[in-house]
Amino acid sequence: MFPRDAQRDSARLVVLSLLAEAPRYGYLLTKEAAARSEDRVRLTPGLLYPLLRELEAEGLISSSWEEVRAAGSPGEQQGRRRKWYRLSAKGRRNLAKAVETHRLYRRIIDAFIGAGDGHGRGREATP
Amino acid sequence: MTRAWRSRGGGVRRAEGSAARRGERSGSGPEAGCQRAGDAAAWLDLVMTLMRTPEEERRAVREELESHLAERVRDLVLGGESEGEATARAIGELGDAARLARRFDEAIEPSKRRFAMQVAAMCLAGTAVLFSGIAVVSIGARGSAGEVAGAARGEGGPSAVVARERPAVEGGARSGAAAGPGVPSSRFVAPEGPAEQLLATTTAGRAGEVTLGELLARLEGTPRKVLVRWDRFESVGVRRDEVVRVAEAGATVGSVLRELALEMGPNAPAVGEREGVLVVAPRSFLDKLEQDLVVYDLSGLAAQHGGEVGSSVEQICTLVTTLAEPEVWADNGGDGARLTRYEGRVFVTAPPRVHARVAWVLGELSRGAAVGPVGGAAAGVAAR
Repeated sequence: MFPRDAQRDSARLVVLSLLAEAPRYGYLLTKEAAARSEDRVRLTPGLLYPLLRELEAEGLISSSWEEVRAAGSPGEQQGRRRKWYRLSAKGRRNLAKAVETHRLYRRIIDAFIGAGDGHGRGREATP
Repeated sequence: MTRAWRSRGGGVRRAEGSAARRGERSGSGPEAGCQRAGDAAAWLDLVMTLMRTPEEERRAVREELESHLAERVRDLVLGGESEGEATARAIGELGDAARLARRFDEAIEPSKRRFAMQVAAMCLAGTAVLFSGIAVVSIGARGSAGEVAGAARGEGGPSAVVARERPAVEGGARSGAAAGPGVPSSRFVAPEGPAEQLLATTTAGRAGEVTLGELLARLEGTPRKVLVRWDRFESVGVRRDEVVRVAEAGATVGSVLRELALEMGPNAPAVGEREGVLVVAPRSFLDKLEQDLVVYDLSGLAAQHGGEVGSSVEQICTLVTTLAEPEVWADNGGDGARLTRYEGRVFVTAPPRVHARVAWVLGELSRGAAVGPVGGAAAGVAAR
């Protein structure tokens, strides 16, 4: 739907924002993103996991493994490990900048298209 | 290599499609569940095979994807799907195996390069500091600036011990000084054998376009015995009538081949020596023909750099595979050299030209470590 770069930039913002709230693992991030956006934001595994690697390499997030206990439900195996991610101090600063940039961008665009109504200009020219 | 990659990618997509279709048709019952679990393992195997990053990274990626699949399958089953259907769908959501492998490579590789560059910069800075330290400490101890300069050149003192312990690679590398004012440095100079001499002295003829056959025939026209292995060129799709550009009149065949190597990579023509005969063949073929196994003991060197020996050895290996002909290493996706770590030792299977560079990099690192004011024994870089 979106060009790949735009999609990745949005995904970056979503992931960093979710991790700013609490540590999460990959699958939990996909579920949270879908739930909060009424299934509009889909962090597909092909997008998410390489992105997490990238963010980790940039020092924006850090990770640790957790042993998963058997829950007795299908697909759950004893000894499986989950990789948890958390936002680093650098990531927090980076996120703050990204949010600021995003808000500025939105204000600029809103000035042209109008905020909230979805139609035409914010300030209609009077005849 | 690019063609093979694409073709493999296409195959992967078709395989996934059929797996998903099979899941839709018959994805129920315990047998189907086992089949789908097998599909997941096979799919993960495929991604791991296609990834070009180090084994450790691949293992971590696999474990994370396995965990993702397990959780996704569990949720889908709880939502009412059979295990077979759930597994097929979960695999389908992961997408194209080749594309996913490439994305992981892209995400991991730049960080590896950055890391290696940081290590290189730190080593360079460390070496500079150590050399400046030697000047102070050694002048104090020996009272002669001349002796200090001699030690730094490997003429005496601890650095001479290091020089003797360097790998005895045939036709080993020479280090050429390339220092700026006040900055100690050295430059790798490739060893020159009959092959290099032939390439450096045979001219490619007039400027313009020639065929590869015509260019290599100039080597055959010299007094040296030269054998061009056209069978090997043909086996990798390189023909005699490939058009080659000679940039300027009087250019040597060596300089033309160096340019060609940028375009052709491992299939580019190279010259090696076999039992007195100079053999012209694709670089990848010669590399496989000339494999030497050399063991490098890095424990002393790693200990000198502080921290855990295992992590230092890992850093040194990264430095080696980044600086010494990076494209040939299996760790980087090549197939001309392989590096296996065992505790403080590293077993390297590679052609002599790669060993020469490895030896130079390690020599430079051990020189800094061994000559430093706090370093007692020489760092161990032993070969064979």
